Amino acid sequence: MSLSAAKSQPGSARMDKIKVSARNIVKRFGATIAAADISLDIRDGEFLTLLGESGCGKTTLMRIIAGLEAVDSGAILIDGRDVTALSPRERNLGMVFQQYSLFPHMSVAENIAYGLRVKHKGEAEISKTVDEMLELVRLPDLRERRPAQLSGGQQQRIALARALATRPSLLMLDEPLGALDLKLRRQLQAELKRIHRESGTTFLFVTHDQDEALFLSDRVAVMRAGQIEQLDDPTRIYCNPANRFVADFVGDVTLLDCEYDAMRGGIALEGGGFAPMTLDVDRRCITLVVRPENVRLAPAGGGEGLACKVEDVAYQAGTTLCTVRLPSGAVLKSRGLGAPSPDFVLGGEALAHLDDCRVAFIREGPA
Amino acid sequence: MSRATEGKRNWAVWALLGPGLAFIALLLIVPVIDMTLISFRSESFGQILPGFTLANYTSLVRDGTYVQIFLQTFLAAALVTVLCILLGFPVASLIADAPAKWRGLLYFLVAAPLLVNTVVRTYGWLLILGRKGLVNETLAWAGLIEQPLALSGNYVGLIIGGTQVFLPFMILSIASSLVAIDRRLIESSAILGAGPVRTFINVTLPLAMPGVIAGSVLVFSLMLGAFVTPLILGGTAVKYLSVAIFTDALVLFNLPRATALAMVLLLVALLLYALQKRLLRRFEYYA
Ligand SMILES: Nc1ncnc2c1ncn2[C@@H]1O[C@H](COP(=O)(O)OP(=O)(O)OP(=O)(O)O)[C@@H](O)[C@H]1O
Ligand SMILES: [Mg+2]
Repeated sequence: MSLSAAKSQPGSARMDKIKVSARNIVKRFGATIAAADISLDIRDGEFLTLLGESGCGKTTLMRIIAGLEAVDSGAILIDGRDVTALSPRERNLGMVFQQYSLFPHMSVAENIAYGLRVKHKGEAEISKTVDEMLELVRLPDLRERRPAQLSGGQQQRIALARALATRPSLLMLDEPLGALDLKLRRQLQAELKRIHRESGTTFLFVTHDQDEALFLSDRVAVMRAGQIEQLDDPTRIYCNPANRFVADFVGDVTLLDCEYDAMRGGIALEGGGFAPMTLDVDRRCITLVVRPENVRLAPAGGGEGLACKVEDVAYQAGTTLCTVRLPSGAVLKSRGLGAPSPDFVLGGEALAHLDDCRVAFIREGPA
Repeated sequence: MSRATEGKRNWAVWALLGPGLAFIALLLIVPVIDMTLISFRSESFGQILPGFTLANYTSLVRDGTYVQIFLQTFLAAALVTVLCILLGFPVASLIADAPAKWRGLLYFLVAAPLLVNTVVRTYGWLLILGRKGLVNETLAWAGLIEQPLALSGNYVGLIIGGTQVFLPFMILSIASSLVAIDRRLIESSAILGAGPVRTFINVTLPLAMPGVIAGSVLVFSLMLGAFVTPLILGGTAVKYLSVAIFTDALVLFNLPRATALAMVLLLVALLLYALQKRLLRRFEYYA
């Protein structure tokens, strides 16, 4: 594998190609619908993440693409070829499971070599690839170890090496970092990003950790109950959620139901309060997606803004998170840089300003 | 925990273990020591004579019939073990692959024959394998044979009977190993491009080895010590170790020689146990 493969930028020639395509996938387990007519195109070289709550069908979709699970209807295409009827071994994919996926009776080197041996590669090539893979995951000294002698993080990196050794069309990772502690997770996330870049392989990643999804991915598919709610790049998922569910699922958020008043140039909140802002919207009833970084607090009595009451002030390593309550009962959070300002005391009054150029809205009435 | 309470707890543990340990000492250790001593004595017309001798053991090696008995017995145990592996593995795989809710029933079906007395089961085989048994009658009726086949009262009957009697142990042992194999390992192998045969040889079999070894040691030692099956299905044609011990002890009243034979059997069982521990350690991947 050429480790120097150029990072494929969105919009590059490579990324315009579709690597794997899932078309109208339907899968039921008895009464549960694990995939309700899912269509998904994975671009060549991209890092696509399936994000969703437990039980929403992420693993099932992945297993269907891998050929480990049959579909009720729909088709899977790899490089434009219909592989729906093919067995897993004929699809040339890679997969890393959450845990336990290394062969316990084989050494690290044998594990990595397994897929190559199966494909009857020559010993010299196998040995070279094993070295390359160990180099790629930065564990060159563990060749002869048994999986039981590795830490969790090391095992997952070897699993990654084993899956990449056969140069799969698509590498699928099903919550590969789920069993690791936070520090190791962060470290391996960075590693994953680098390995994706250096190997040039297309990644399909599964997680229910939204930070992980936003940090790692070129695109994120937010799933709910066997359906994809939104498929977009991380910034758009965060800043322009397609609906209430996505907005609520990703990040710290307050959803404010309000009416946009084009005449006065602002929004009227339910339960009183008016905030001036200009939105490009063609309807009255909208829902504002307000994140902590979109809310600025000002001392009370200083002109315009939404009157509110300070409920909590928390200093969090470099930023301060203030929680305020509007007269309507809605809770807003405001994040500001630096230490807490003496203007805002618990139980005191304040004025909240919504940063109108960054507040997103959903063309959807109250839930 | 303080030292005092720990001491108290220790005391309680010993008090609870006491009766059991006493039982084992009385019913196992004492008789074994007694047997060991008797095996070094000589006898005359059923009476144990004073003084010690190695004659009981040396005669086992010198006397051709005993050498033959040992060979026949070990060969039978080995054959039965191999047959149990070959017949048991597919059944064990079936159990392991079955949905969890069916597994209990399948385990029960496999173990059910163990609820029937061995004598009864072995007689059942006699009815099937005898000169006028089911097999011979059927084959004769179909015109495939003219003379009845000798399927019982010989080595063939012994092997068939032994295999059937001890098969459940092998199946249960292998199945417990197979059930423990993570399904994702099999799936990983498939995704990496391996076909079913390759996956079986490279992944399933190595990981099932602990079960195969444990089952083999169990079946082998059970077959070595088997008595009813060789007696009924082997008949007089097969000289079997346990039958010889029985004859020596209770027909010929030669207790010293019977115990010497029994000691050899005991020794083999202990050796097998040690071997099993060694072999199993090699297959302990998760340590
Ligand atoms: N083999 C199966 N038999 C029956 N139901 C299943 C099976 N596999 C999955 N399901 C059901 O299908 C739904 C989707 O499961 P899936 O494993 O794909 O979820 P997931 O998004 O991966 O969840 P998690 O984040 O917990 O791993 C769930 O309701 C689950 O109970
Ligand atoms: Mg899952």
